[in-house]
Amino acid sequence: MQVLKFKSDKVDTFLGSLFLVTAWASVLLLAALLLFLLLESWPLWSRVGVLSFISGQVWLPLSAVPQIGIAPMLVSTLWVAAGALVLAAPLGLACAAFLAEFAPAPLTAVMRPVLNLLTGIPSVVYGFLGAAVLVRFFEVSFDLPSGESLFAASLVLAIMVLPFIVANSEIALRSVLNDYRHTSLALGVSRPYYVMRILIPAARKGIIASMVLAFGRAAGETMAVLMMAGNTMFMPGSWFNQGEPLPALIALELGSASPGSLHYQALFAAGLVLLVLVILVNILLSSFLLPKGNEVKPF
Amino acid sequence: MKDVVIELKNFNSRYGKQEVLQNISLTFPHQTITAIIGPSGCGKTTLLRSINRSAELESGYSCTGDILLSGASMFNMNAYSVRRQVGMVFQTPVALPLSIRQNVLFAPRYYGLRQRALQDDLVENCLRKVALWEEVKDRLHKPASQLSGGQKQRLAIARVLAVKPRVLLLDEPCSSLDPASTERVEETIRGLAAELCIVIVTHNLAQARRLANETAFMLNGQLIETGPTENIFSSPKHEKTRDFVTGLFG
Ligand SMILES: Nc1ncnc2c1ncn2[C@@H]1O[C@H](COP(=O)(O)OP(=O)(O)OP(=O)(O)O)[C@@H](O)[C@H]1O
Ligand SMILES: [Mg+2]
Repeated sequence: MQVLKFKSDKVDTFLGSLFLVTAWASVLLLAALLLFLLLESWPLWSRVGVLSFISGQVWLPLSAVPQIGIAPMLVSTLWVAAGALVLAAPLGLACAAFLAEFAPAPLTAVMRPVLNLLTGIPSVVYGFLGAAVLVRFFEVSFDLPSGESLFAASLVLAIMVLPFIVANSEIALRSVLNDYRHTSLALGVSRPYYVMRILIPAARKGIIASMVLAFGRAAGETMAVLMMAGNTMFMPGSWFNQGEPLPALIALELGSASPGSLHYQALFAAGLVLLVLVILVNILLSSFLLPKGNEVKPF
Repeated sequence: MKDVVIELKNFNSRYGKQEVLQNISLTFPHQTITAIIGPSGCGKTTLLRSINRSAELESGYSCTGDILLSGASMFNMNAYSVRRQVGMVFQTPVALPLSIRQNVLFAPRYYGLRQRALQDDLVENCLRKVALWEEVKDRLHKPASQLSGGQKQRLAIARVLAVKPRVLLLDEPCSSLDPASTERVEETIRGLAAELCIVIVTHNLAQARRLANETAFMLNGQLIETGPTENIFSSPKHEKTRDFVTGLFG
């Protein structure tokens, strides 16, 4: 017995440290990424300054007197990603609730693989379809010179992130105790009442996580946005203006920027800002929207 | 003879191909506690969930025969209204992920109870009936998940009482409770029998004997014997009943 016990202790310690190492590896990877972006963009920060980089309205890194500000691109990114989330979140949640609670089993059996398939469609296909169909549609039906806009990009992004929201929210909804459903329905309340009062609040942690994930994807998505948003560098006044989100900026200009130049550093700095933005949204959403402890939302 | 509130007539039910209840005919009178005893898997929970019409929410469930609620077939009534009138408390104490107060108000709010004063009255009234008021009156807005198992079970009964049912179905309400909590829940049940028709499933034969006026013994989905509790325990007519109550099997 003594020997057996000693052995399994060793296995436990080994597995424990393995998990610890993998967990830390992912943290280190993120830290390394941040560090790399910081190093590549470093001279710029001291030259331009954080505040004027973020709030500057003009992006002319190649002129004789370079002006470097990413405010229009940052705002475009926020419009596009937040807009996509606003469009996709209610739809995705409703669809997840339908799949988890209302849909007959044969229908879920068909819909789940279809949704999984949708997540695998390359974003350039979405962008292509958006540019060919959606942009044309806006041009023709609203008589616009160009149908490209942040809104059009949001629309395509919403369709792209929808399957993620549905899949992850459905998992969250399904992990809620079945006892709650039995207890609720046995009291004579309707299924929709149970879903709104108990199921969705009980699963809100996972639902919020799915939204955060979707926001990150939408903010970082490049191809579809590049093809839809119009790529003008003016500060967008509304959702229906054109703009150039940060990923599009980087994708369009990195190829032509000579390594080590101010232009090159500025693009890395833009990448850093994008990453920090997504991390911040993660932290903010999860710390503000999640209840502290196990307090109960008063109704 | 007291009014019959629930009457099962040649009731059968099945999950898929598996027959669970066979030809059950049974009555539950007003102001009476009826205990249902029988070995595990004999269909007691299914019986209660059939009477509450929540078994039909399970996939594969089907039933034949009839159940009368105050003389009318409950299958001709609105299922929600049946579930409301025939309240059910489950085996594991479940606190909905809401505050204690909102647990009690969960169903009444669905049925349109909006005025604050009426809500307050109802919460106090129901919690007093299950002898929980004194223990929780200072923390009504705290999560119900913080309550102990026995408190949760009494809260579950209060939650059912809040929609003013005529029948209370209890599925092994004390199976996960300690003797002291059991004692309190039993007192609660005894008190409620003055105004309700109560059916309690229990594995605890002593509890059936302490609590019930009538007892029904089930085996493999069939009703073997039913009668006044004393008769079932001291002079059972059926041999299987005698074996069960003397502890030979089950
Ligand atoms: N949702 C369901 N789907 C399929 N079969 C079920 C379902 N619920 C119960 N059964 C079956 O019905 C039979 C009776 O189950 P039931 O839960 O009514 O027994 P019980 O008498 O309450 O047992 P216990 O005393 O252990 O609680 C069992 O064989 C069980 O496998
Ligand atoms: Mg049972």
